[in-house]
Amino acid sequence: MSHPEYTQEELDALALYSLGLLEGDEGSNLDEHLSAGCTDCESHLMGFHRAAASFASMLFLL
Amino acid sequence: MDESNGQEPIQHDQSELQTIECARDKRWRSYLNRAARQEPQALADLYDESSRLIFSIAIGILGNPADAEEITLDVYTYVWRSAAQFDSSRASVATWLVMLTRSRAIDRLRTISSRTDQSGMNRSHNLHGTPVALTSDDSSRVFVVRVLEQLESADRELLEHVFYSGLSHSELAIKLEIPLGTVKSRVRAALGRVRKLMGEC
Repeated sequence: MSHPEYTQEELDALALYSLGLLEGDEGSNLDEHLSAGCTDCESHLMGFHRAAASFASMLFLL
Repeated sequence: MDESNGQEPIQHDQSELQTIECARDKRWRSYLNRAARQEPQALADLYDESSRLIFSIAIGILGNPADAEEITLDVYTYVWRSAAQFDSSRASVATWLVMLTRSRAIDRLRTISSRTDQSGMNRSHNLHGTPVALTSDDSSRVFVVRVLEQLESADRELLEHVFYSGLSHSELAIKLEIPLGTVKSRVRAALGRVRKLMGEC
């Protein structure tokens, strides 16, 4: 499963999901979508994870 | 979309930091590989190099050294048991450790909050306070300061709340007094700026 293009809303949802902040049906739907094996969404999630971890690491370095 | 805030990139420092981070990740992956073969010294080496970062994340979320130490121990116990499951194609070791720590610390925070019947909105968190010594070299710190300077203060504040507070999406919207949809779009945009500024191995 893959996406040809993402809407801003989909990317916004993935960003929140990457931090465990997406609630309700939206979160459940994304759970199911990822369980179905969407590699594009997985790739975006990993990117957001990297960014969040980098940000936290930067604060540590200060 | 320009996600770098329209400012000059900082290529020189960025490549230096990337070199340092890539070398570190290679080393940490080696520790994990050895830990997966149940070599205790490998876990000790990983702990020596990463535990200050892990503790800083935990205490940033929990604000309590005793709880943060417990989470840190919990993380390395998990690492020892799960080293073989680490997939380096999905994330760096640092990203894996940081996100694992955040997840466990927020679970603990929510448990504590529910036990004490505190509203999530009233949780306090210590964003920067950490008793640990800083070990980064000066060039890394200079780079970090410059990256953070390129983030608008509102983005930085938002990411700090998002990362450390343990508040849900809707709780964040109330606390920050911005609409739900705006929280989403601002989180995505701020993380996008960090991704662009940091680069990748």
